Amino acid sequence: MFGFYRLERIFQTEFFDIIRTMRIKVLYFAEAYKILNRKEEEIEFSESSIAEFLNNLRKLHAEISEILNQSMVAVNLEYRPVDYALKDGDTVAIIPPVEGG
Amino acid sequence: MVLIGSEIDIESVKEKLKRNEAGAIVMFLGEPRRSPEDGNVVSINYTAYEEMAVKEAEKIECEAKNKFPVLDVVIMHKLGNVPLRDISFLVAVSSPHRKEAFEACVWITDEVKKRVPIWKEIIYEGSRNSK
Repeated sequence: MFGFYRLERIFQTEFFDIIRTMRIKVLYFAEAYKILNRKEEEIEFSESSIAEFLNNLRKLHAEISEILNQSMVAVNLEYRPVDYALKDGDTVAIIPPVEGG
Repeated sequence: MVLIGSEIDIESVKEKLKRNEAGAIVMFLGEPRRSPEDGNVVSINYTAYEEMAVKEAEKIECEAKNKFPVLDVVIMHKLGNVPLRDISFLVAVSSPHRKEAFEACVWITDEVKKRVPIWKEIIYEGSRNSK
């Protein structure tokens, strides 16, 4: 019974987590927007945290790597820490240092 | 927060904040500046993540009302090109007494500058550059 439960859990979580991909909408502003010449894009992503997402983004867009290091991240209009777990359909905004006023 | 493309109307903000209980109205007005360290600035072009800027500023207004005994708060920011001597940013606060109004105005101004997703591109005489 326990073994069956464990197998079932593995199939429900760990196994499917490995192959699951999410579609994340990414928004770029200020210098990041200027360098990439795009306001947004959709990225497929198989990990979960913002930190992992940023690592993938650094590989994809090395030209904004420095900006990513200085930026805050907002998910669905809220600032989130780097250990925050993303989910399918989230909108991630890269927020370079703000300069209002 | 109000994000606008036109002039900030100070008189209408003052009228909005007037209350029988308000003994003080404190207003901060931010403008683009020219100075030796800034260079020959002619204007600043502001852009924003508008949806989030409004939401984040609303949070700041709520936090200010919990933190200080203020009656009302107005935050406005101009977007687009703002020349020297034009107002780009306004924070105005009404409260029964001046001390809390001054303190709240400083706190809100600092929080907006730290948290609200607005960016500037400084326009210099004869060229376009950001700083």
